[in-house]
Amino acid sequence: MGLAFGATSFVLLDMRVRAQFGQTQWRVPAHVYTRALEIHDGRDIGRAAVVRHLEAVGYRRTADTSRPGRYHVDGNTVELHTRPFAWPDGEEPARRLTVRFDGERIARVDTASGRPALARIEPERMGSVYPGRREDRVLVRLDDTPPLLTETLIAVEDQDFRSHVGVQPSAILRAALANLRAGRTVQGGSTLTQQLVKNFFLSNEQTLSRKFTEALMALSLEWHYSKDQILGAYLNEIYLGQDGERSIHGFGLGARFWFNRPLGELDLPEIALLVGMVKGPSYYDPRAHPERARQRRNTVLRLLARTDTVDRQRAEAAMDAPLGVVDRDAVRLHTYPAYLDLVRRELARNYDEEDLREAGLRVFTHLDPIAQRAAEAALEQRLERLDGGEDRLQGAVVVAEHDNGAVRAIVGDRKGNRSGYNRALSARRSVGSLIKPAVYYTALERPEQYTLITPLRDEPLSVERAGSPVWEPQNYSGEFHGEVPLIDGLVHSYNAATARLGLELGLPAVGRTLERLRIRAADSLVPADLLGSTSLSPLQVARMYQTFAAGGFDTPLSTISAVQSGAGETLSEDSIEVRQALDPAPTHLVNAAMERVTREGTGRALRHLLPGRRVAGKTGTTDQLRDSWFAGFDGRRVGVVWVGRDDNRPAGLTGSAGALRVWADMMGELSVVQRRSTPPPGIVEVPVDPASGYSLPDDCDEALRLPFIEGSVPERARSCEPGSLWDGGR
Amino acid sequence: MKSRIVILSMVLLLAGCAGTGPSRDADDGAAADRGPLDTEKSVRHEVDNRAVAMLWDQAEEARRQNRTGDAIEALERALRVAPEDPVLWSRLAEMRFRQRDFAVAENLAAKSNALAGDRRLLRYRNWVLIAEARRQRGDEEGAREAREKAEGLRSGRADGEAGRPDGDIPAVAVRDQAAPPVATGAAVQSAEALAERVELAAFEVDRQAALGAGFELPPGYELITPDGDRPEPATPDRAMAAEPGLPSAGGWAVQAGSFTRIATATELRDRLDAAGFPVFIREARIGERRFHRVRVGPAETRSAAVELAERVRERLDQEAIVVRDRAAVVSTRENAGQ
Repeated sequence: MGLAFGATSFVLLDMRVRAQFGQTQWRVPAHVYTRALEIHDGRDIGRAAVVRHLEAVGYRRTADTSRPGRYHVDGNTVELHTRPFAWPDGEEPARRLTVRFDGERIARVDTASGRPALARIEPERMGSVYPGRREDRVLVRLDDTPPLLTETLIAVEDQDFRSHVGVQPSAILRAALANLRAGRTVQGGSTLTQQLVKNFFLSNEQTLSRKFTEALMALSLEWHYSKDQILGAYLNEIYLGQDGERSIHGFGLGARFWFNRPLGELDLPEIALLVGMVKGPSYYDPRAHPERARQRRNTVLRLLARTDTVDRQRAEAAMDAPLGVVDRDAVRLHTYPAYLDLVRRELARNYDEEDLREAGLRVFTHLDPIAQRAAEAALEQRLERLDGGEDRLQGAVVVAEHDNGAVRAIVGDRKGNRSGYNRALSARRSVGSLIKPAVYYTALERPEQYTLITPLRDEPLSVERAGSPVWEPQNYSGEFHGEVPLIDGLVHSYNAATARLGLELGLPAVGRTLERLRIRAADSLVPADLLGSTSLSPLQVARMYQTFAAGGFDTPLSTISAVQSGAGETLSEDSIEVRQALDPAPTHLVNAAMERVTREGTGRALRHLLPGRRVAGKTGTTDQLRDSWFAGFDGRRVGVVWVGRDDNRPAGLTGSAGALRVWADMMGELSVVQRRSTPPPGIVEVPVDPASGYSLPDDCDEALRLPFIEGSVPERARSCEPGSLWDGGR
Repeated sequence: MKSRIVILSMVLLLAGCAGTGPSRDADDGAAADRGPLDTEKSVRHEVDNRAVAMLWDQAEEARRQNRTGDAIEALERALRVAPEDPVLWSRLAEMRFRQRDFAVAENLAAKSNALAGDRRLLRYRNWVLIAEARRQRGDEEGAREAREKAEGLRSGRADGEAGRPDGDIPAVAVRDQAAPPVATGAAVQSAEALAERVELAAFEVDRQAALGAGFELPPGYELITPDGDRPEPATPDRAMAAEPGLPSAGGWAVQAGSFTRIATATELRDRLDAAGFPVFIREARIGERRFHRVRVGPAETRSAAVELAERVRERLDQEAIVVRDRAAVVSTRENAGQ
C-alpha cells in the first residue's frame, strides 16, 4: 500500500465523513400513537382501564411515587406521577396527581396541593405506517441522557475515550496479538469512535483493510467533531436488538424495547445490562438467554465498582436485582391494520412517503385502544358464533365520536389484526334500510305537511319506468300494514310505506337530502334508491349517521389529531369543524324515531342486549339477506357494523340478527354515555294518540309523548285515553 | 359521595354595555320567560365539571390577551369533555369570528343554538354573531334574516313564530359557493368595530369566596355546592292533601314499572330504595284491574325527572319513563306497601 494511495484515500474518506456525518439526519420512521389518555373529573373510564394504560406505556407500580413514571393503587384511588410530555399544543410538566374513581368513571383528579387537574398520559405507540425492513430509534440528546449511562459506556467500552484521538494503537496491537494467538478474531479493541464509524459508514466484514479504513475515518471524525458530538451520535446509532424486521437502534429505543421505560428512568442494573449488550445484542439477548445476560450485566457491574464509577455496595446490590426486562408482548407494537390504513391515506394527502419513512414525524391519532379492542372482539366472537367458525362471514366496524369526528376504532376483517382487504373503507355494499332516515328527514323538514303521526299508506305499489323492470317493493314480513303513523314506517322499517312517502316527496327532494349528507349527487336517484340500493362503505355510513347523531351538524371524520416534526414543532393539528348539513329540528324528530327503533322496532333486541342504555339506530338488510347492517349512536359515539360475505352471496342474516348483535356486544363493553335529551329550539313535546291523530291534554298519564316542530302540533283532544301504553300488567 | 360543583361565570352580552357591569340570572332558561329580553344582562354559564372550568378560565385569559389560537385550543379541549355545553360553542364561534373564519363561526354559532334549548339570551347573542358573519361574507339577505331572528328573540316574539325553527336556515355550505367573501374597506372596518365590541363585552366574572369546598378556586369563578345529588323531597306545605308517606301528587315522577301483583311492585321498590332512590308506590284502578305503579321522585320539573330517569336506567338496568305523578285515577286511599 503506497503512501500516495493512502493519502488520496484519506482525503476521500475525510470528505465522506464530513458529508455524511456533518448533517446527521437520523433515519427515523414516523412514530404513530394512539390517543393520549385524558384524565379529568367525570371522564368515563374505570380504574382497571387506566391501570392497563399506565402499564402499557411503562409506568411502574410502586408505593414510592416520588419520581415520574410511577403509580400506586389504593382502593379506588390511584396516586400517579406523570411524565413530562411535549404535546402538539404545548409542554406538560410532570405532576403528582390523585385520581379518585367512582365505578367506571373518574370522580375527581387533584394535584398534590389539592387543585383540580386536567392531565394527559402519553399515548401508546402503534405499528408503523410503512412496515418493512428498517431501522427504528427514539432520538435522545446527550444532555438528557443519565450521566451514569455515558460513564458506564466509557468504562466498559473505551476507558480512554476522553483523551484519545480516535484510535488507540496499543489497544489494536493488543487485540491483534490476541487474535493471532487464537487464530481467529476474539478481541475488538475498537474505540467508541471506531465502533461508531463501523455502525455508521461500513459493512460488517472483519478484514484488515476494513479495519484500516475504519481507523482513518475515526481519526477524521475526531479531527472535525467534538467528543460530545461523537458520543451523542453513538448513543443514537448503536444497535441494541431486533424486533422482527425492525432493528432497534440507540439507547432511547433500547430502553423502551427491553424495559418499556424512557431512558431517563433507568436505574443502575438496567443501565449495566444495556451497556453490556452492546458487545452482542443477540448473544446477550436477556429474553432468550437470561442467565448469559445476567452474567454479562454483573461483569459490567464489577468493572464499574473496580473503576470506582459506582461504589461497591451499590454495585453489589444491583447484582442481586432482577433483570427487569419486560415481556415481549408488553412492547409489541399493535398494528391495528384497518385503522392504520386510514391514517396512511390521510397522511398521504400532506406528506411524502419518504418523510414518513425517514423524517421522524410523530403522528398522534384518535385511536382508542379500549374501543378498538371491544370492536375487534365483538366482531370476531359474534361471527364465530354465527357461522360456527367456518369463516364464511366477514364484517367491518367503524366507531367515531359524533361531536368532534374523531375516529376511535376501525375493524376491516373478522380477524382484527389481519391486514389486507379493509372492508371498513373498501367494501361498498348496498345499505338497504339504512338510507331510510334520509327519506323521513326529507318529509319532516316540511312540518306543515308531515309530522311523526301523519298517516302513511303501507300498501302494495308498483312503479313503471321506461327501460326498467317494474318495481314492486315488498315488506320484509311479506305483509302490508295499511294505514300507519309516519313514525312506524321508520321504526318498523316498512318498505311500502317508505317507498310511497319517497315518491310523494319526489326523488329530487330525497336526493337533495342525500347530497347534504354528502352521500351522493342529488339528480341520479331511481326509485329503488329509496330503499337503499345505493352502495356505501361502512365509513361512509358512519359519516351519514354522524350527522344525524350530532343533531344535523356534519363533521369530517378524521383519524389524525396532530403531526409533529422530529424536532417537536407542530406541523398540523385538527380543529373542530362543523357544518350545518341538516336542520336541527327535523333531525331531532328522525332521531326520536330512531330511538324508538331500538326500543320497539326492528332494533328492539337492544332493549335486552343493552338494558338501561339510551341509544338510537337503524337496521339494514338487503335482498336475500346479502348484507346485515346496523348503524347507531349513544350520547357520544356513532358505531356502524356491516356483516356479509365477500362473494356477495346471501349471508342469511337480517340487520338485527347479525350486525346489531356485534354492535350491542361492542357497546356493552364501552362506558355508558346516555343520549342527550335537550331538544333544539322550536321543538315541543306533547302527549299524543297516534291512532286518532290528536294530541292529548298536557297532564295525561302514560301517554306516548312525541316531539313536534312548533306550529305542527296536532289538534288537542278533550280527554285522555287512560292507561293504554304502560299498564301492561307485566 | 361525589361533590358536585356549579360554577357560574357571568357573561356580558355582545351588544355594548361595557360600563354597566354584569347582572345575573337573566338567562336561566325558564320556559315562562316571555316578553322583551333585557339584552344588557348576562348569560349564565353553568359548569359542573372542574376540568371544563379550568379550560374555560384558560380560554378566557388567552382571549383577553389576544392569544386567539390558544383560546381556541382550550375551548376545543373543553368541548371534548363537555360537547353539549352551548356556551363553549358560542365562545368558540366568537374566536373563529375574530380569526375572520366567518363561515366556520356561523356554523359554530348555529351548533350553539341547537344545544341552547330555550336560553333566549344566548341564542340572541348567537344570532347577532351569525348576522355579522353573514354580512362579512357579503350575504346581506342572510344577515337580514339573522337580525330578524335576533330581534324576534329580543322582543319575545320568536317563541310564537309558527313553524319556523331556528335551524330553518339553509346549510352554510350552500351559501359558501354563492357568496364570495367581501373585503371592502367598509366591511373590514366594521369587522374591527364588532371585534372591539366583543372585547368590551368581555365575559365579566364574579369573584366570591368558595362555599365550603376544600380546594382553591381557579380565579374568577363563583363556586356553589348544591345540597347533593338526590332530588329534594316535596315540601309539605305545597299541597294540603298529601297522604302519609306519599309525596303530594301533581309533580313529575319516574315510573319504573306498573304491576298487578303487589309483591312484584314491592320487590322493585326495595331494589330502588336500596340504590338510594326516593321511591313510592301509587295505586291505580283501570277498568277492572288494579295496578301498582312504582315511582321514583317526585321531581319539580320535567327535565329533572328526565335526568332522574336516566340515572334509574343507568344504575339499575331498569326501564323508566317520565310521568305526571297524578294520584287521581281512582282512589289512592288504600296505599299498598306504605
